[in-house]
Amino acid sequence: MSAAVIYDHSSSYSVDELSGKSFPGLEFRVSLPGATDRVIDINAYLDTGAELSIFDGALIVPRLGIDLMAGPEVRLNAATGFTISARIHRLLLAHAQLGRFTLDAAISTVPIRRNLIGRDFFQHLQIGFREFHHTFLVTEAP
Amino acid sequence: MKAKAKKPPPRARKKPMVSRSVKSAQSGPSSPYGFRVVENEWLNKHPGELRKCAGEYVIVEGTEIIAHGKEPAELFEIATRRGIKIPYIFFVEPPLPPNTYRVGWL
Repeated sequence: MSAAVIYDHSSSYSVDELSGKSFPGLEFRVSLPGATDRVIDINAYLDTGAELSIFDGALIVPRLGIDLMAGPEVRLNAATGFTISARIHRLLLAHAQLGRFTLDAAISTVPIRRNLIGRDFFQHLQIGFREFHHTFLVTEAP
Repeated sequence: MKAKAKKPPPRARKKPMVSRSVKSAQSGPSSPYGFRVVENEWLNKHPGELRKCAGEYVIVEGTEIIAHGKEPAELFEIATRRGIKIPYIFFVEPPLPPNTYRVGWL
């Protein structure tokens, strides 16, 4: 059985300026729902191995003024076996072309190096990777 | 005993975009490039500017590094004093040693 997908958007991978390596990422303007005075622009890696999207608490918490520990706790287990603690908080993510999304995301309780967009987000966006071309394609999930 | 159904992970809910303040400089509205076209293009062309910031957080506005350091909260204060309302901040990962590859993002 064959299947065809028509994608609305395409984007080149982001480039890590120091190493020259590239990665699939999106840039988001993040705020708390209903709050317009505290906003931050961040980059996030697309991570098909992440069940939940996770954001670096060292960035999000001081800027957005989140009461981090008030959110429900989740524990996030990495492939290497280590586990970190995070708290769930509702965020508003805006992308210049893709639109706005509210997401109950994990905010790390320890600093992490990368913000990750996970499979919770992929329920609403269908993404195709063209690794050879360092490009990914995006459309709304059916 | 009846097993409880496992709660599914929280879902993202999409809202319609109200405004599109920035269009992509690369390939027009079909490219999800983001709000920071100027900054990202400048960073791509000037990788040397970030070399001194390896292992630190950096706030960039336009073609200028506003602040860099280990504590994001301090950088936000500097950005606010400079009149920046929406700081664009990211962590500059130190280069990996030779023959080293990433196998996961977390």
